[in-house]
Amino acid sequence: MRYIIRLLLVAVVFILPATSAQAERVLRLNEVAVGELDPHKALDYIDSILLVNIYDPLVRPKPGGGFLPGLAESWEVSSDNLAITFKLQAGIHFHDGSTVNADDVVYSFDRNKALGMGYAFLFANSSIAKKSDMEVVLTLNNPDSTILAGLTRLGIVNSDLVKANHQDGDFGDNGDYGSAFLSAQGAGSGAYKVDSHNMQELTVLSKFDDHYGGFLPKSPDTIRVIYVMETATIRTLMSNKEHEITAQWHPGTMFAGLAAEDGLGLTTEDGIAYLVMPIHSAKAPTDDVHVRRAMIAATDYAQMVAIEKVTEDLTAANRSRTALPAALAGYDASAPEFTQDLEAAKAHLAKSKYADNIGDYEVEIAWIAEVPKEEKIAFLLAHNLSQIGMKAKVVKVPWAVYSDRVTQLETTPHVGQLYFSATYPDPLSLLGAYHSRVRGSYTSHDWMSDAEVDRLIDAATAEMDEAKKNDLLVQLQRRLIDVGAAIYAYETRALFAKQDYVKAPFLDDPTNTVAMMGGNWRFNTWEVDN
Amino acid sequence: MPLTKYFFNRIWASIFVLFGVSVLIFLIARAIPGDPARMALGPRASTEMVEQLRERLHLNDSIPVQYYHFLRGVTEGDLGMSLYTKRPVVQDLAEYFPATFELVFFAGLIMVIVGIPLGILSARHQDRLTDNVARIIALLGVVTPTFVWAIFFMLIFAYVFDILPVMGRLGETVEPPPHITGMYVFDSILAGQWHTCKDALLHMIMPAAALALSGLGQAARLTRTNMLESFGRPYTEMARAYNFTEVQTSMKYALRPAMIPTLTILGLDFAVMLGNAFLVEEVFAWGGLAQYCVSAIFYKDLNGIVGTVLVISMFFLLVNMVIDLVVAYLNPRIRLG
Repeated sequence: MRYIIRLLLVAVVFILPATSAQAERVLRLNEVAVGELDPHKALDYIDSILLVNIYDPLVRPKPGGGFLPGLAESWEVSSDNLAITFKLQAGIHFHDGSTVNADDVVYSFDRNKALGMGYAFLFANSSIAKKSDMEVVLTLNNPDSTILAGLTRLGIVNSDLVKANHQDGDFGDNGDYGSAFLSAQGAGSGAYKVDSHNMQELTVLSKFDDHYGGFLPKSPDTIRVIYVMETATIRTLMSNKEHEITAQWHPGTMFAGLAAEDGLGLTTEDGIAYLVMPIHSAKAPTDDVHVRRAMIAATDYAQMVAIEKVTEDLTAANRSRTALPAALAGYDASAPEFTQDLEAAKAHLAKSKYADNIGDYEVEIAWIAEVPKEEKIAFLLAHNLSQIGMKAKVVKVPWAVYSDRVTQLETTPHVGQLYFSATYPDPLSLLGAYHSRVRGSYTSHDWMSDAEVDRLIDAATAEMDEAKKNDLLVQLQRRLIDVGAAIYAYETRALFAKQDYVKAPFLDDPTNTVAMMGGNWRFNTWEVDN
Repeated sequence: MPLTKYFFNRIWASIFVLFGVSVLIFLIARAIPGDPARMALGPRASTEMVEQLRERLHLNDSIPVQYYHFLRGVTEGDLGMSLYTKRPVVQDLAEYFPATFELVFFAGLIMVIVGIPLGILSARHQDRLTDNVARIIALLGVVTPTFVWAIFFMLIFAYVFDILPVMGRLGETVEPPPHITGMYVFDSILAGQWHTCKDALLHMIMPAAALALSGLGQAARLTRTNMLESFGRPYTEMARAYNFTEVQTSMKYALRPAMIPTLTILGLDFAVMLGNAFLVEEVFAWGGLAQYCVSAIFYKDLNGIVGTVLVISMFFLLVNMVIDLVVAYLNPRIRLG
């Protein structure tokens, strides 16, 4: 017994000092693994957050649309809209102290295209060349108004450092193009540099004091991203004040619980994402535009939004009014909110070729097995359709199966569900998916072939004048609603729980929102007052 | 059969088993729905880009040709590129295996140092209070899912009392030790960094205990049953007749034969934990192999899946071989048979 008591005492002494001191401003957040550090492979939300903090692009998105200087202090578009000359800011340094120049921009652009990953598809019709040490010329095969938006996602890497770390690989003289190196280390000029990175466990970033953009007085010194999504773990960390801001992917019950705790609050990122329910336009009975319009009119949008209610004061959805979320340029603010109108729905149905035998058809509504709330939405829509005499079957489909099914016209369900967000700050990042040449993918499976929609997308893509482009986009949104491309169920509000001492201006104030995945998470614009 | 011959026979058999596993998992991984290239590049990538990646990964070739490329890579120590992490699978395995192995090692240690004594105590105090308490602990351990224990421990020790760290392998202010084995406890001991070692051990307590409880319960129940059987054997009666103390009789005469089935089960549990540690790793943000494997399955990362299963299979075979050798040592009749 004496030994046991002694053992216990040793254990107590061993355990009790397990408290951590915190002398600096630390911002701790969690996200879904894995965190991809390579800026030219970055695809998802956390990859985008790492990208905007570790790397600088040539241009940055501006809240409300348009672009701000990044590494480029100015740019000039040629009269034929086929060339853009960027002049780089002098005296910007990478994290190792070397200076950013044109060679780095050319190398980064070519590397992204060669790897063919991340957002390389945005640069398929363009090339880049060095004009002088501080100037580059981007050449386009056709005028492309989305190119600047695409460049906001092109992180410029330190080419000398990466080249020095090329290993054997599939890219000829470039070996692996520094893939192994950039997946483990940073080589950027962004506001934060990489201290350590384990893509499945933890990434630690620290302030790069020489960053050209500067910092707020209370910007975090250290960023710790943990790759854990277990709700119990995050809840405990938040309650213990060992975590500053959560990911958006947790269940509403956790957010409601945290909102009730002292010192904690909720914040949202609004207007850059929405729930779209594409309607199959090439399979009976939804191949008839009147049936599709009937379905759009029959949908109970108020109830759909109510599904996203988190607390008495907060719902993680806004009513939608058009085929775009509100923070994107070209948003048709004059359109009325979508509302349920069963009489109009019945009138549309009466005009369809299936008016007499609509009951013979069963509309398949799919929901993704990994997103449980989609089940409620599917059943609500099925109920709405039954109100106008349509039969519906709700089908649960795992994501991997769903993404396979939608590649074929025959296997695509009549109605799918797609949480779609602007990954780069251009409305065509969402609306481009309606072009008939990109059908048969996860983001585009309405199988619509409408010449006017194609024309408007092509015209908006080629139009470099912002106002004219926005006019075309408004026409496009109206056309998409006319042809019944999809049910725009609601705009999603990405919800985050955070400590009250964290100030995130781009989240807390919707007018500051930039319509780019991760674009609101530039931590040098945040403050941690703990 | 001499022990060395027995050992080499087992190694040969293991090579064939591994080959069979590699063929099986290679086929099963390809039966999972979804296009790996599309899933890696994202929904917006162009068809041309997806096609290029498919070519680079040989996904357009027939299954036998794909398997040939895989085997050729294995002989060169290359398991291909992971589509989940977008880096070589070998690099992933080297990073994540030590984390899980360390966790499993300490869980195994808890199973042995708590489970077996619990079984012995139960047997010695059959149907008395000690036995009943041990029975409840063992049964609760076996029937309660590991992740429930993980969350329960977190609630008690990290949230209510706040005496153990919530997650991770090291505290925020603690630098990892120099990389030797990749296992923080052992590396910090080798480097003489006692503060780091203490921190790593503190982070180990909850996940290892949660992972160990199921096997601990089994070990305790098995040890109890076999000890009771041993207590009724003539050699134990003889020991008692020679006036050995109860402790001497238990430890010297009853425990050794009673340990054989327990050891076998412990060995299996130990190996199985390597793959089953996923939920514990998820709860405690323990970036390990089990978590990597499950994510690889979700992403249809063919190379990641095959690589992880091969490593787990090798570990399983190795542990079984070690257990068989120990059992053969404890009871020579087994190897001769």
